[in-house]
Amino acid sequence: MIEGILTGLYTAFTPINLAMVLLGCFAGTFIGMLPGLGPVSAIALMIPITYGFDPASGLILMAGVYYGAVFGGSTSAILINAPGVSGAVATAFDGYPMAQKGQAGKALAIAAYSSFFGGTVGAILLFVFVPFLAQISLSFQSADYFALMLFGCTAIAAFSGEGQVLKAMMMTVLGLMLATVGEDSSGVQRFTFGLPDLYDGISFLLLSMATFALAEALIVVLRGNSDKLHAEAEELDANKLGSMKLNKEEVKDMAPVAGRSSVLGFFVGILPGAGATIASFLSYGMERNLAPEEKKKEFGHGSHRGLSAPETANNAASTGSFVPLLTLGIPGSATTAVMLGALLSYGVQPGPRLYIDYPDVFWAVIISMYLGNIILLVLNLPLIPYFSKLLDIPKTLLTPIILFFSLIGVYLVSFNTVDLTMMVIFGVIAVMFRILDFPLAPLLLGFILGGMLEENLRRALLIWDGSWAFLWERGLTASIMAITIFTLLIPMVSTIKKWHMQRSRG
Amino acid sequence: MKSIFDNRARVGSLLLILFSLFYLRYIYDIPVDTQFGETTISARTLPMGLAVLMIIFSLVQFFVGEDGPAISDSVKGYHWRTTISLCLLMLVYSLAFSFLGFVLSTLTFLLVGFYILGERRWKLSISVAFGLTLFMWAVLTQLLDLYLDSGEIMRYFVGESS
Repeated sequence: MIEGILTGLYTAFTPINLAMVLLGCFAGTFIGMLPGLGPVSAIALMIPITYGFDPASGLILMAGVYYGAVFGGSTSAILINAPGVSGAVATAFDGYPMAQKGQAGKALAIAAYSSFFGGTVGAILLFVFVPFLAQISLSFQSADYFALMLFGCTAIAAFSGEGQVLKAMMMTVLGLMLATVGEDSSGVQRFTFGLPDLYDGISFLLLSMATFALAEALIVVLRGNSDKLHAEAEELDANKLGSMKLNKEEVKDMAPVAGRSSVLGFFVGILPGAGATIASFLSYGMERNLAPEEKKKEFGHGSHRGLSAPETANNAASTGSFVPLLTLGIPGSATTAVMLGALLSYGVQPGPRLYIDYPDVFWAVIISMYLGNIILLVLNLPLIPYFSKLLDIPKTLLTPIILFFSLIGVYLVSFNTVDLTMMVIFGVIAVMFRILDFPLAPLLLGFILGGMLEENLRRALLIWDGSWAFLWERGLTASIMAITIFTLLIPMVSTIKKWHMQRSRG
Repeated sequence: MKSIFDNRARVGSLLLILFSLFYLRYIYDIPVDTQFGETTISARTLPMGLAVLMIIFSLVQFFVGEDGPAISDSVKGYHWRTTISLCLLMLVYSLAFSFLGFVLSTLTFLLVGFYILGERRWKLSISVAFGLTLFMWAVLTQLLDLYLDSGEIMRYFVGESS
C-alpha cells in the first residue's frame, strides 16, 4: 500500500498532472457557475479533450473539473440565486439572503472554507476506506457483481424524489435498453438495422453530451431563464462583494457544523444514487434541528450554519461518491457514471483490480482530489470577484457557444457527422423527457451499467452451469439481492399507500 | 375538462410503451446464439426482459402514477420557436458539416445561433464567431494536429490538400 501511495504521489505531483488539477479546477468553476451546466456536463465536455491523455492525467483533470463545478455551482447560487448544480440548491437558502444583505464575500468565504473542510474530511475517509473496501471486494465474483449492478440501478431510483421512483426506474430500464444496441459480447448484432454506425453501439459520450450538456442548454433557452439571470448578474455589480474575512466567533460557531456535516455527507455520498444533493439537504435539515432556538430562526435568512452545512456535506459527498466507483466499479451518481465511461474508454476497468493493476491511477486520483480542494481555496477564492464577471457574458452568445462545444466534442472523438445528427436527436428526446419530468441521470447510469450487467450475468450463468440458483444459493449475492429488493420495495410501498389514500379520499 | 393525456407522467408512459413495442418487435430479428444452450441466456434474453419490465412499469405509471401539473400548464411561456430553431440549426450543422467543412459550417452555425437568440449587435456577433472559429481551427489543426474536414466545397475550389 505504501508503495502504491508513493507511486500515486509521484504521479500526482508531476508538472503535467499538477497543471491538470489547476486547469480542471478553473474550467470546472467556470462551467459550474453557468446556470444549467453542472458537473456532469462539465466532465462530459472534458472527455474529448482527454482522449489522448494517459488515464491518470485524464482522470485527474476530471476530478478537478468535478470539484471546480461543485464550487462554481455554489458561487452562482450565492451571487444570483441560480444554483449551477442541484447539490447547491440548499446553499442558496442562506447564501443568497447573505448576498442580499451585502455579505456576498463572507458567504463565498464560508462556502469555500466549508467545502475545503468537507473535502479534507472526505479525502481522509476515502484514504482509509477505499483500500479496505477494495481488498474486501477482491473476493467478489461475477454473480456478486451482477447483483451489485442491479443494486446500483435500483438505488438511484430509490433515492430519487417523491413521485419519481417509478419514473427513475423506467429511465434506468430505458438506459439498459439503449445499451443493448450494437454487437453483444458473443458477437451477435442487436438493433443495428443494418447501419454500420450502430455496430459498435451508441457512443456513451454522445449520449451523455446529448442528455446533459445539450439538453441543459436547450432547457435554459426553452424556459427563458437566461434573461432573468442576466439581469440579476448585472445588478450584482452594483452591490459589491464585501469583506471575505471571518471572525473567531463565526469560525467557532461553524466548526462543529462542518464536522458533523462532513461525516454525514461522506457516508451519504457512498450510497449509490444518493449523492451531493441529498447529502446537502439532509445536513441542512439536521443542523436546523440541532441549532439552539435563536439560531434556528436565522435559517433561511442568511444563517452561517445554514450555509456551512450543505456546502460541507456536498463536497464530502462528492468525495464519497468515488468509493463505489473506485472499489466496485459501480458509479454512485451521474457524474461518476460519466467518469466510469471515460475510464472504460481509456481501457481502464474500475473496480477492486484498479487498486492492484493501476496503483498510479488509483492513488493519484485520490491525492489529486485533495490538491483540487487546496487549489479551490488558495487560488479560486481570491479570484471570485473576477469569476463573477463571467456571469455577465450575454447568454445570446454563450448558449450557441456551449452547443458548438458539445457538438464538436463528440465529432472530435469519432470524426463522424452521423454521430452529430444522432446527438441532436437524442438531445431533443432528452429535452422532451425533461419537460415530461422524467429524470435523465438514471438513464445514463442504466446505459453505462447495461453492458457490464449482461456480461457478469452471462459469466455467472456459465460458472453456475446455466442455473440461476446463484441468486439465492451464494451468500453474498443473495445478501446484495435482498438489499436491492428491500431498497426498491420501501419507496414502492409508500407510493402504493399514498395512491390508495388518495383514491379513498377522492 | 382536461384530456387524460394532458398529464406529463401519462404521456411519458405512453411514449415508453410505444418504444418498448417497437423494441420488442426487433428482438425477434436478433439471431439466437447457442453459446450457453437454449435454456439459459441468449442475445435475446436481456432485451426481452427489459422490454417486458418497461411495459409493466409504464402501465403502472400510466394508471397509478400521481397526477402532476397538466402539460398545458407546465409549458406555458416556453420559448418554443427559439428552441426549435436552435434544434433545426444543430441538425443542419450536422448535415452540412461534410459539405461546408469545419470553418464555414461553424461560422454559419454561430452567427445564425446568435441571431436566433436575439443578438443584434452585428460587430460583436461577427467578431466572436470569427474569433472562436479561427481559434478552434488553429488549436485543433495546428497545435493538436487533428484532422478537420475542410468540406467538399473547399476541396472543389481549392483542391484536396486543404
